Amino acid sequence: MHERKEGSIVRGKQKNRRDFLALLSAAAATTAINPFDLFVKGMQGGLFAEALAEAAGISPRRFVLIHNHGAPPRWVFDNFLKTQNSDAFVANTMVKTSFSGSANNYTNMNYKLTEQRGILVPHLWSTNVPSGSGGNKPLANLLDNMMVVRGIDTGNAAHVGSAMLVSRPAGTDATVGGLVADTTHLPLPAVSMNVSDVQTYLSRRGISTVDHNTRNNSNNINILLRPFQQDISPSLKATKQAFDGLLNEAVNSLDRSVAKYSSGLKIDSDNANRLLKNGFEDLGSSWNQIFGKYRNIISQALTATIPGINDRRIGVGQNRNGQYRFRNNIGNVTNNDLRSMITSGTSIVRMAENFAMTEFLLTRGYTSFINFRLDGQVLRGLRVETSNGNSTQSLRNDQHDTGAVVGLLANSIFYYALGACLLELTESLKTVPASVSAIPFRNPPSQGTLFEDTIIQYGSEFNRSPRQNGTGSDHGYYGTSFSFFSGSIKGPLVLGDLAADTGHSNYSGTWGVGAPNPELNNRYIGLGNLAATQATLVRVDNPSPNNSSVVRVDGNLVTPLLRQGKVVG
Amino acid sequence: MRILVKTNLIAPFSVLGVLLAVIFFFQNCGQDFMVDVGFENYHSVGDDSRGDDDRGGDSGFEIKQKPEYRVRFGDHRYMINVLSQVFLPASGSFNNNDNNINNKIRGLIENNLEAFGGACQVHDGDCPKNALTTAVMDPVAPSSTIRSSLARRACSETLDINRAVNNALANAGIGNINSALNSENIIKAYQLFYSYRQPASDQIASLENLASTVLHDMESQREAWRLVLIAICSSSGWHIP
Repeated sequence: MHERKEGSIVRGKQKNRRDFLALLSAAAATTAINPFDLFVKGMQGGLFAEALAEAAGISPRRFVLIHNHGAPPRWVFDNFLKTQNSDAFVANTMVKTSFSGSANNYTNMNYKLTEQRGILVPHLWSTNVPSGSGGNKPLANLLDNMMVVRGIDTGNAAHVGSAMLVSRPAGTDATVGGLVADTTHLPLPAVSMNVSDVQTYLSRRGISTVDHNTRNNSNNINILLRPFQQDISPSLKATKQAFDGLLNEAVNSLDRSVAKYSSGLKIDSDNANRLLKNGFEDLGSSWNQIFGKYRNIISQALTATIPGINDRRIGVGQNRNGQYRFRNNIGNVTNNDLRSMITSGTSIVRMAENFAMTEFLLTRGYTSFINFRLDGQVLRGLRVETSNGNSTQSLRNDQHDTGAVVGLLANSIFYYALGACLLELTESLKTVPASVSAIPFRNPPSQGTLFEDTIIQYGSEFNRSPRQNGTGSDHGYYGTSFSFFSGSIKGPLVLGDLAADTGHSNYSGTWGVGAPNPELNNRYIGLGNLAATQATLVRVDNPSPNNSSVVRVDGNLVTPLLRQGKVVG
Repeated sequence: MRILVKTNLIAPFSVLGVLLAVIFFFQNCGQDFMVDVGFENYHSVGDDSRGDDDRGGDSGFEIKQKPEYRVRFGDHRYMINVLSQVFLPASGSFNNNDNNINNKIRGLIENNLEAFGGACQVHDGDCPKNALTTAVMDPVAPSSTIRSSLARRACSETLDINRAVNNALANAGIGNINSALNSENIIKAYQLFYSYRQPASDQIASLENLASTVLHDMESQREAWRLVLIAICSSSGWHIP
């Protein structure tokens, strides 16, 4: 099932890992060859890691983990609830996807769905989003390669605690990202951006992740790769190049026992050497091109007219009750037209930078595991009018006291931008072969496009439990969901049954709480299932072996093991 | 389908068993296992409560790795000490080239404390900007591609200065660049980084092979010594104190 690499080019010589394994087996059996020498030679050639990986049937996909810490409400975007007409649905004041009202004014909200690709999805998916190539593209294009796994109970109501559990469930000895880094051939195996306080990355082989703090409006690529930009004279460069083979042989000979103490050290040293030798493209123009593209997309998204969201005046004539609350210490928003909250100073921080970094590191073949965290604020620079005066505010992700009306507008704009960036990233990955590698030293592990060879996961530490009175939402850790995007997913797939009503007095209605799944022996989807599913998708060891995946992968095709999810009750 | 998967897995795992047996059998038998490495039980997953707006240190990155056990690599002070003792004059005052060497070493190591770890002194100004206490730096920074790259750069960029080659040969007791590139002198060069250790014969041979080839092709003793020193310096074993 797994795609296998047919051979490896090491120091200009075609070798084959099976040959290496066979030779090692023969040596161990006959002792005709000193197995230690063979082991050392294999280690020097970089074949040992590959041999281990192959022995375990591993050939990982790239894995992008997008963490939206603070857990903003996702009903307008990818917290799919009622996806089939036959699904039950119990309304909640907070769970709305579109405004409604008269020809000129929006005075109400509703849970409006659109049928796209054979399922019902929130209204936003009927819109066109800005594209990097100019113009607009249907957001629904993302659905073609999308899978939602929903109804997960993290069992932890705290932000950091739950965030750590969703990336490393209790009992696992490694994170899926760490396992990807363990088996990749790319030179910067893992890069984490802005995830410090929720970092759970753990590799079995001691492979490190670079934890990069993304800076606004800076060339983050250059910052990340600066340590690999060597400053030596042309004459030394030429000399090193001329004797590269012998130089490497001497270093490898000296390092042969290092891997005994730290396999990561030897791998890191080899990767560093390759990066130093290889050099880099013009990072200034690369950054300007990729970052500029995402910055423009977000800029357009912030000023776009989105049907059903901001194409009419919002709030005129409506009683400013708790549904207009901005935050608990600010009170109700009194802007005559709620759209005036969005100004030229409104921004989404670090989204363009993080997507640009991700696209660069993936499409140039640097990295196999990227974990980035979006800003803690949905939108910054909002002009908020209240009975106490006007001010500029940010709307945070953790919207405990953000009313339904304010949330519907701000969150829709945020997800419109996020959806546009996700679509742009996936479109870019489709144009690059999976074989892309920054360092030309081994054969590619896979065929097809980079999008087929990449799994993008989007989610938060949990979803939100909506207050039935429309005044905000709390920690819905028992209704968590994640979205996956990949060329290997033929979507839209929606896995996991939901309960139509929680029966909770404050958080009643349909909002994402799971229900027992027949294929899981009538159990709910748990974090172990999530880890197993991630591992299956990216083709690494299941770090939670007592739990099963909700998909299997046949070649380059993800096949669900659960039927399309229903809302039951 | 399931049978096929099982069949495919049995053979590789038996081979994996052989591999592990080989590793286990030879774990104490190497000719040149140089160091006694201290392992520590590292209790992972700290909560450093970094806010959304924290931007980290000057270099813009940190190295994070949280294995249960890990090797204690030399911290930034150790790395600076070793490189300084090798490439700077053992006595006497610095000339301009020595100052350049010193700046190169310190620039690459001290400006990237996150990569090398080790406590830093806030009042001495040698901590990253986000450091609030002397304990903020990880005392045992893990291996990373960035650390390896910076260390390799320190070797090549320092040895790009002729004076560094001269200093190293003098510090090793070899003499100067006209000294013979024989095994005796190569061992002395090796021991600049691996004190009190004896390289294996094939390791000496690989360095001699490098030296003789450079000497033959370039007819330059200086370049031959430069590359031998770069090779030894670029190896990783000496990062483990």
